[in-house]
Amino acid sequence: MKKISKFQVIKFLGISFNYFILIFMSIIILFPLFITLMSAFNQKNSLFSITLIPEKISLTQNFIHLSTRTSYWHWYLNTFTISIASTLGALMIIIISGFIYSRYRFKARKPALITLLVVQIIPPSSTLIALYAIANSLGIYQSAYSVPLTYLFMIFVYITTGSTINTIIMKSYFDSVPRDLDESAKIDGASHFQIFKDILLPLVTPMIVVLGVFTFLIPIGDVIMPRFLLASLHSKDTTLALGLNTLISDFKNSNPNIFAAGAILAAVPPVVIFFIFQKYIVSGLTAGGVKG
Amino acid sequence: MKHNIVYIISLIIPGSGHLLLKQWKIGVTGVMILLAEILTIIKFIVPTLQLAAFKQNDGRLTIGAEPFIHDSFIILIGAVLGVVLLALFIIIHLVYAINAQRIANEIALYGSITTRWNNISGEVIPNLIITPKFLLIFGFILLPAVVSIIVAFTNYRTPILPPAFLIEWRGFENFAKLATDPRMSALFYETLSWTVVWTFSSSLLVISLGILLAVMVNNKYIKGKQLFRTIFILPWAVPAFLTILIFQYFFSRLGAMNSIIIPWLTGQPYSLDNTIPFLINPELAKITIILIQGWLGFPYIFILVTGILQTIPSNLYEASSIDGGNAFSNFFHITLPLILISASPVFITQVAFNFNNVVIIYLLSGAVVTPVGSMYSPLETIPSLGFRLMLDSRFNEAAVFSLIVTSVVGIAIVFSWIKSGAFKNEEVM
Amino acid sequence: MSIIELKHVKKKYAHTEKYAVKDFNLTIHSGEFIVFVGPSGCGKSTTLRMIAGLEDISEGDFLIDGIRVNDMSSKDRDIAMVFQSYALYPHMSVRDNIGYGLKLRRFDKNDIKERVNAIAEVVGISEYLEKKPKALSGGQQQRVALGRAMIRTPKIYLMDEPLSNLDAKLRTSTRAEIARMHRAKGAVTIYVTHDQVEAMTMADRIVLMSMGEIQQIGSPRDLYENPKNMFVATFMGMPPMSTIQGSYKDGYFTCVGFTIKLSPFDRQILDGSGYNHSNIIIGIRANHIKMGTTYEHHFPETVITITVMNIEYLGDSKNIFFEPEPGVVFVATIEPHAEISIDDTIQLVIDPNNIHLFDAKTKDSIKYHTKKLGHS
Repeated sequence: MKKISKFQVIKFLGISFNYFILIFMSIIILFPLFITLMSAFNQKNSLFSITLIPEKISLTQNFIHLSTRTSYWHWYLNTFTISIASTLGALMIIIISGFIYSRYRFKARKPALITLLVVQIIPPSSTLIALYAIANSLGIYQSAYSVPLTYLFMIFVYITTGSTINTIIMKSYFDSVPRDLDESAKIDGASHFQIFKDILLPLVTPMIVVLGVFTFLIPIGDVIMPRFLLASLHSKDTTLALGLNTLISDFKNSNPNIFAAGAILAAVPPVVIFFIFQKYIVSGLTAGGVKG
Repeated sequence: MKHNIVYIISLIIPGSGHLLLKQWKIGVTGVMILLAEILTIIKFIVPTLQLAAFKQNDGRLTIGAEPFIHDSFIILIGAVLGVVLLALFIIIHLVYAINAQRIANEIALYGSITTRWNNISGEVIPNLIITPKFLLIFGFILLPAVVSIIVAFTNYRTPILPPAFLIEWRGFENFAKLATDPRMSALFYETLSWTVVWTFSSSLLVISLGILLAVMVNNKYIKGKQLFRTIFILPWAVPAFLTILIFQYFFSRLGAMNSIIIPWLTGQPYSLDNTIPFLINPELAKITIILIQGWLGFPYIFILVTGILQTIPSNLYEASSIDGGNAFSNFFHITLPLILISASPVFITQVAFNFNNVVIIYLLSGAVVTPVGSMYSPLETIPSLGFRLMLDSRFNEAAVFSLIVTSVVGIAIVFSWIKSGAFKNEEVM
Repeated sequence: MSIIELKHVKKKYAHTEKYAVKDFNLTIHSGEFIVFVGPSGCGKSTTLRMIAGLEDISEGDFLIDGIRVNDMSSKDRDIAMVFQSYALYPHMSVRDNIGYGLKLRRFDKNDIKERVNAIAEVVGISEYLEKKPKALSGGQQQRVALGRAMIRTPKIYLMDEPLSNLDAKLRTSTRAEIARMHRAKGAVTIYVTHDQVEAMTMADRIVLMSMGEIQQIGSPRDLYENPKNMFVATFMGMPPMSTIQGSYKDGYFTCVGFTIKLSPFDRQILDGSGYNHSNIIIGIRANHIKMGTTYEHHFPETVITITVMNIEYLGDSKNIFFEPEPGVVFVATIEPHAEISIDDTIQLVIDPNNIHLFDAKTKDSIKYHTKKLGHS
């Protein structure tokens, strides 16, 4: 009897310790986010707050300042335009070429797949020097449409870098759909396109969602390429990441509460998308990640 | 013997072998391709390559002959394209030669061609569909990467910017500067040692935090698993640049760390003169930035390991408990080895990612006190320094750095492929 | 009323030297139930897939009603197919699964609904129509697959091992059901299986294949009673036919374990074909090796003495295993109540009127042509 109770004490201590660590980590994660959230609704004009909950709460003031004193909504629109265009472009390439690699056996198939894998060796940042020079040589910055052309250039870069390894992941997912289904549909009378549209596309939707979210988040979070390629443009033509950076490092024109408001607004779409598709993302990541 | 003859003559004149074998259509296309090749070589490749290394009267080797008339950079890209085209021509010749040889073999064996061409549609359509993607990859990844490497061998930096100036070839001068130029070498070696510390300590923190929390949440006695998992994924869901900026403020003299947490822990009231310079003191900033990266990076490993834990059959633990194992021996003898086996390729790419993580360094290094005489923040790593040099238009030196970065990342990725057997399994098949 | 002809059909995959199917010739008449049977890798599924249009026909002609359809796509060949894996579309309800083929053929929505309901009634899945295939048991999924094939009235039904994923009991009942449906529809059915019992019980004609070649085409009875060669003889029937090589001389067959006198009919054939004083193989089915004094009296010259190696009790019978020659296993099926135990030495009787004779070199049946003549 004594032995069992000792065992139970150890077990109890172990679980308590477990809970302690987990709750402690949860606080560490939630606290900075919570502070930012509170700060976004803090009406006080002082530059710092020494209380957790702001004394004067305003739901709108910081957001109004954000709209009137900064080019926030321009940045917002720029960022999401680039992001959505890149996602749509990359997804189109990923889905169609993933289907081709999975279902057709042609001579260039294996070399093409190996190329897609090998291209991973090149980190996108190390192509920047030439990308800038190429954009420059193409006359993008001198053109009357320098802003949309620069965006288009960036979108093409994002589409390209977003459709290499992702194509291979998509192809593996297509591979997991049994070929029997294609054949069955073929006998049912479906054309190649109908097989793709009616049978395969609905079945690979989870992976499309995962890769879509990933390619959507990359341009939003990218600081490097916009910092380099958008440097010569007007400050209202920059992206959220760079614009918010100027907000926080330039206290003369703003205050941290306005930054916090901007950060919260910027975080909403990615976080919402992330949690809507959380299940897909987690399963897609574990499927794709463990494989390599 | 005929197949050797057609092979050799096809290598020189594509299509000639087919003509000899009375394959008229293919033969004519081959000869036409040869004409196009000759035209391209005479009209484009030779002149461009000549310009790409032009010897000036004073002995300098420049790209282009005259400023403003020749844009060095466009000529450089043209030269790279020219070399690529030459390689493409060789491949075309090889394809014709191999095909001619096979046809000759078949005629010798069966008296006619047995390979039917009715699968043309099965070849042409897929190739047509995937070609645009490879044009993109060539134009936006491969070509820029090659050109970026070439820049390391030139003097392309401000103020020598085309078209007003011609870029000059400088051989290994930029690389040698890392060793010979005292300021440059001091900067390089200091950066290098911090880069190593940063890469490994942040990776270690991210990976161990991810594993530890995943294993803890996965404990069968823990309730509220879903809540904990949702919280632990949050840092990943919020875009990294936002959280980095939030932390930039959070750890500043005015931020919550100094104004709320420290007064609460010590009981001292907050005063601006009494703050801890988390992101200002270089040594403190290095620790802070590693901790922030731990916060940012662990959810990815957490999700991954949670997935792996679900695949470990529970009868392994049952067997171990019959053998007398306890929680600790279970973790070190069963859980950890299994996680390491299946996730090690990801851990390697994680290290490469942390090494090449420029965003966090770029956003957080601004406030740090820069030592007298140094142009760059002590927080810079090799990749971020390359980025800074780029922003300062010191392109040739930046190219040396990005060449180093590419090799390190490349080696890590190749190593992770070997670990995961990416080339062996059906992934590529 | 359709006639399906396969003339010198061959299949060779790219990058391989060997033919997966060599010179396949078969004419199928309307309403026939044809079973392709053979061990795995014999080319039976490949042939079916060529008929379905899922594989290219490398050489030869495939004709439906005299029209060459080699290059016709699957949907124009007017076929329906049941897959081994059932190949149900996991994202569609059972109703949509069954109706998909009609939808593609632009049938009216209400019409599709009625037809699906009717066929669901026939295969007994009416209650599951709105469910996803995943929610169904293996047997129910199999019925959905059948229903999907049955909803149209094609010229040919193709079935690729449709029962292999079912448990033994369900297999027997579904077997009967498929046969019943075939009779009701009256269209040609081509059924692929590796299970000779399915072939025997369902087929009008069996096409037995091995190594890409047709071994024999005929009714189940043909193949069982008059196998063309040793492969057919040992493949058809359970337990398999026992065979042993020995020498034949003047009416007597001698092998390591025993000597027996062959029947006058066999003797006449062997002597007539010049097999005297040469090696042959004999084959005996388990139920043609008897036990008991009555048989010993009847056929005293084919009594053999053996040592029992193993016994299988089957309820209505008993299988006795013995080795007349080391490494050569014989099976005899006897009545279940015989008091025998392992290692007993007993006497068995080979029925001399049911001995199969094979050439020792070619393994071809020596009696095949004579018997065939006798039939007609």
